[in-house]
Amino acid sequence: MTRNHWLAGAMTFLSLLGTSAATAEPLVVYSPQGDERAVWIAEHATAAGHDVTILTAGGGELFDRILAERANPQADVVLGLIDAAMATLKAEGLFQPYVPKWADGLPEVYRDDADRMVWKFWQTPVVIAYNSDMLAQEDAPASWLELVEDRHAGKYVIGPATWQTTKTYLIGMLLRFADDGGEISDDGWDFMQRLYDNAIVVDSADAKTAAFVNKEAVIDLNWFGGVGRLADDVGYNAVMVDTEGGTPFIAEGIAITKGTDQLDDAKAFVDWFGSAEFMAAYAARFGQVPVHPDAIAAAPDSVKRNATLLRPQPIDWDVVAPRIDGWIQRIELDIK
Amino acid sequence: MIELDEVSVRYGSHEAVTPTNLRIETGEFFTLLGPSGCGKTTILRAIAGFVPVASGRITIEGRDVTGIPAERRGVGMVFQNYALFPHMTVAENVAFGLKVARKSGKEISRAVDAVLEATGIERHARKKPAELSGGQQQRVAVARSLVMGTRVLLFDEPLSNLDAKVREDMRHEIKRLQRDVGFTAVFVTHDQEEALSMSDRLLVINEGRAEQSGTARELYQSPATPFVCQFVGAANEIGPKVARALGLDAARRHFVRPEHVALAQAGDPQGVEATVADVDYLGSMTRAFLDVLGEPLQCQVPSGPSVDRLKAGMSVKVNLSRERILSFDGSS
Amino acid sequence: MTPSGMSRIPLVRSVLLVVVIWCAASFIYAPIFSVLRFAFAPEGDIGLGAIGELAGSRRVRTAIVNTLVVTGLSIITVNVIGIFQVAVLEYLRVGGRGFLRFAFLTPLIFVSVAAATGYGFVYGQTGALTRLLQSVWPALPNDWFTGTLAVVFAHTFLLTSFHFLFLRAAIRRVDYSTVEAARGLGASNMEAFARVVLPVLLPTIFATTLLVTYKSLGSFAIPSVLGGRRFDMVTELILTLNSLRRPDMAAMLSIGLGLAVILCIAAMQYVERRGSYVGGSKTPVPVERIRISSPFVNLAVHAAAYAIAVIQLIPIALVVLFSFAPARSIATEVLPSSFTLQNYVTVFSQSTAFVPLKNSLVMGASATMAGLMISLFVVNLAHRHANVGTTSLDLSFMAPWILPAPFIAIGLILTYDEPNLLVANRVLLGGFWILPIGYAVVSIPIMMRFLRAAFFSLDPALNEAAQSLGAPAFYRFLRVTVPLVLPVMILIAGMTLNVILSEYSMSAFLFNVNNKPLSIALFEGARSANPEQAAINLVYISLIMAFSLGIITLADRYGLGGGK
Ligand SMILES: Nc1ncnc2c1ncn2[C@@H]1O[C@H](COP(=O)(O)OP(=O)(O)OP(=O)(O)O)[C@@H](O)[C@H]1O
Ligand SMILES: [Mg+2]
Repeated sequence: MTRNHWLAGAMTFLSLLGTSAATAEPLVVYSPQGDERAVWIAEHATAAGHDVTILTAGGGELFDRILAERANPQADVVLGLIDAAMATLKAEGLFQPYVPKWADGLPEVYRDDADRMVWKFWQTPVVIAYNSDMLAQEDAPASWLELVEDRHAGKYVIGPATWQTTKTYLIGMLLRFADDGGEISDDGWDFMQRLYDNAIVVDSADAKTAAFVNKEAVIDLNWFGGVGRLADDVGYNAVMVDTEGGTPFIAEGIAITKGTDQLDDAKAFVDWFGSAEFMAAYAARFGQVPVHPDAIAAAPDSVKRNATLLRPQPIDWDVVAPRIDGWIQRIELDIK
Repeated sequence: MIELDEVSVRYGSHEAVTPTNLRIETGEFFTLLGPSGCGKTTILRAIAGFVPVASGRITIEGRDVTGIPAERRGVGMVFQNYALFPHMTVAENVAFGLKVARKSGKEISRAVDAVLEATGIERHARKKPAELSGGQQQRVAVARSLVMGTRVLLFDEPLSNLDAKVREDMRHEIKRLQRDVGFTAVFVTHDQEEALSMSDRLLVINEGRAEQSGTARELYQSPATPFVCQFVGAANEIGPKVARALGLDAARRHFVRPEHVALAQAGDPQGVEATVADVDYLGSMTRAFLDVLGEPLQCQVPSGPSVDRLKAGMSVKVNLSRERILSFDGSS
Repeated sequence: MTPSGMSRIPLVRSVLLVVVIWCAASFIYAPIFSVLRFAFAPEGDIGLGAIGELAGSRRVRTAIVNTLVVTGLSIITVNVIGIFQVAVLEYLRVGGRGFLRFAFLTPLIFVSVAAATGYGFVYGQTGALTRLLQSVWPALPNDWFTGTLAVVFAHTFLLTSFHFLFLRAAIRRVDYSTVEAARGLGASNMEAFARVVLPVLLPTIFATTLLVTYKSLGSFAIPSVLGGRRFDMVTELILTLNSLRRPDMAAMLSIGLGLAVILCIAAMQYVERRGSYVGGSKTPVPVERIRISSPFVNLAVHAAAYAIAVIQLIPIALVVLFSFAPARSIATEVLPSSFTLQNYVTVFSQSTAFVPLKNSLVMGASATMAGLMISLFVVNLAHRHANVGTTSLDLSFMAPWILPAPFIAIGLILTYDEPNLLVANRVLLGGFWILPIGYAVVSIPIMMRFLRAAFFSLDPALNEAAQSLGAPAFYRFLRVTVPLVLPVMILIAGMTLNVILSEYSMSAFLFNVNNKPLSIALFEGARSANPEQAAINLVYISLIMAFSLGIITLADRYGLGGGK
């Protein structure tokens, strides 16, 4: 009897190896969509006859995880990672070509005609917004490059460079100092240093919120949807700036993992997810701006308005993607 | 009957016990006697099966146990510190072996009660060993083996932890148990008084070698080797000058026990001239340290008026009767 | 003995042996190898490129400087406070000794990330003490408690635990007759302490100093929580490098840290070995506490002792008090004006608040159990059959003792971030079990040390007695050996679980969404402006402290570790 305990103990220990690798029946979707949104998507997918499990986590973490699992992919579909991340995963050979039914009519920048793997379905600008209760419009920065001015010192927050949002606006600013070959000039790095010196730098979302609660920070560098959310959480009115030189946009893409054993289900899911009906429904529910003209047309008016609110900064992600790690590393190790 | 046939034991390259032959009769109280480090414990542990033998054969009641692990030899052991399981009560300690043997609960409790009563510790059955005196602990240690129906019990200096009075009592206790139950006892000690008083027969060991076995009387009266002669009881080795004066064979070694050295007054016509170097008064006996022809000699005589007069520096005569002298070949 | 039982013994033993060897290979050797490989040959060719890149980074250089400065300062301040505390408790007659003893013991229960967040809570931007100080001295900035000052301050009052444990034990071995002799020769109390007691304590002081150095070099939670903007220590940089996907640089930096730590431990062992020859008299007269004759000095000593006690107790008192206060009173009141159990109810009823506690308990319990089983097996084996094989197995599991946690963590990450044959081609990184594996690896050495001591103090005759009563090896192990070492095992389990509950170094590297532990929740909560979150943190810290106090009281009773 006691002997059996020992055996049982050994077996428990062996089980440290991890959970079973047996492929689950439902389609596994990796997505950085937050809880509520993921649940909503899953419910609608089920209603549409797709058997899916959505695994949610932070974008950076999902990205690492997909890379880590490359030899034994757990995801069948990757949904919602942004341009640079999708470009890198594609370059790593982790995706499978498929042209979704809704590819027709998709604007050029959101398509992947060369590789036919990654298709963008909605977009989000990364914006400068300010607390209009504390800051007058004329005191707010009119462009990203103005942030380094003394009058904004200590009024904006830079989050961890591993965040997609942070990464996007840092890259957006750096690219203004890029030569034709994509190299950043010394002025660019000087600017980056001043940007950091002038900022409140935090390493967590809570710390960022705290800076706004404490009323130290009044300028929010955030993605479109995050601006309103932070303002609601903290309790102030936020106003977005249509910046000179344009606003970096990120678009989120969907792709099928190479080696999936449920290719047909995955294709069906991709077709359903990007369809104008679902995109419009999602836009109606969460205010997210889709990129497909048909979806925009079917979306509520407020969303239509947002689709044209800000001028985009042109960014060629296929060129930028391979350089991002080096830039972020330099920022983290020399500038931060 | 326990038989050791050319048994030797090695620790690495060190031969702790040289090939030894030994016969211990069933029901006998047998003692292994020898100085510290001579290999007594080692022989005992070889019999118990805790150390492997390097050569030879051990048989117990006709069964060759040489290669059999300790737990299947059916030999009980009482350790110097008793080795009672501190986390079990007295009753549980005693029941331990029966539980190992998968006896039924009823059987176990009956046997345990019986043996606790026989050893006189039934009152302490529920106590933990730490709550018992040394003597009581020892009884538990004995009971723990006896309950198994063990016919051979090995004792490794079990009395050395006890104070003089209890020790005396426990000697008798062990003897009584051994006689009543009739088990074979192999007892280890380096205390010769203990050994002589308790044993039916003894084996004297020196540096891993069996020197001589026999009854106490045999060992004392006719030691086979100089070592036994000196270790069992006291003995003077007679120096060469005295030996020549006595006309003894110079090629051999000669010993005499202090109590066999006779003293006479200086003027006595017989004997050899000696000077008293020192006197120890021991109560009923008196021990004198003599200088005989420049060689030391001890003598022990009953105290009495004439002896009380002995003083350092006095001249006396010494008489050594031939038949009291123990002689051995020079080589040994 | 049934025949089936007979044949099962060696089978169980061989299966366990295989499992244990596999554990050593997978979770100790493979990670060490990975670190070395990535540091020196990331692309397959041997090179030292990582060193150059590390040296080129401003932030890395500052972190190294910070680490050295903090360590240097901490050595001085911790020794001053620690030696003074020991003198107050054991050498001088100071009123309220029981109270002071409790205050000076708190570094044993207020550790790692719990202590760091606790300090942050009272000294931080909105901390009660910060506001108290500001009411006296309005010019004090909100963020006065950051950087080197904050970290060294926290070290000073949190790293005295080694003095409390070891120096007090040492001073009790001092032979008081030597003090009396010195005073008979005309030395004053203080002179006698300096000339006679201190020199005898010197090896111990040196050893504790090395332990402080070791702790300070690898300090992680304290600088992360309290360091503030642009203040990093080396461990934090290793984590950053890892998240920047520069395993080569992370591995190289962790090797640097490892070398520093190994140096410390080697020095410590040297001192330990030499110190053992110092040996006092055979029958030392216990040290009698001395009445300070000068009223002025006496007053100063009392004042200093109580000031230190207050500094150590205030964060704890405030944390516990506010854990019973309504969330809204946090960051608005210096002392709570009303009390409630609501925060505790929240922690145990709200799944988001309870999950980290549950995760830590599950991971802690499984790491402790696995660690204990391995330790028990290896120690027993090495104890019973000492040979080259068992000794090297024993040493293998001791190896993590001289390696800092980030080193092992990086090793585990680099080994298991892709499918590895050692674990049936699974990826462990990102899964639940990688963190408890890390916990177990770093816990095993200390478990083995205690278990080994327990085994060596076991009377071998007990085992033989059982054997001569017919009990086979496995039965003896279960019925005699295990029950006798059980109290030690339970204590070790408790102490390990206690450490794991607030373990930060391993956790910060290996946690993920599936297993976010208490320490990480504490760390994240410390950054939150949400008073509800802060309240939950206070409950966590209070629970951790209560658990630690229980364990230490227990350990004290069994004469292990903590001390009277
Ligand atoms: N485990 C061991 N390994 C190596 N040598 C041993 C071991 N046990 C005993 N010895 C050596 O073997 C010799 C005999 O030892 P043993 O214990 O049998 O002596 P002893 O007669 O019982 O002595 P004592 O009266 O002191 O108990 C000694 O020289 C001793 O040092
Ligand atoms: Mg012995």
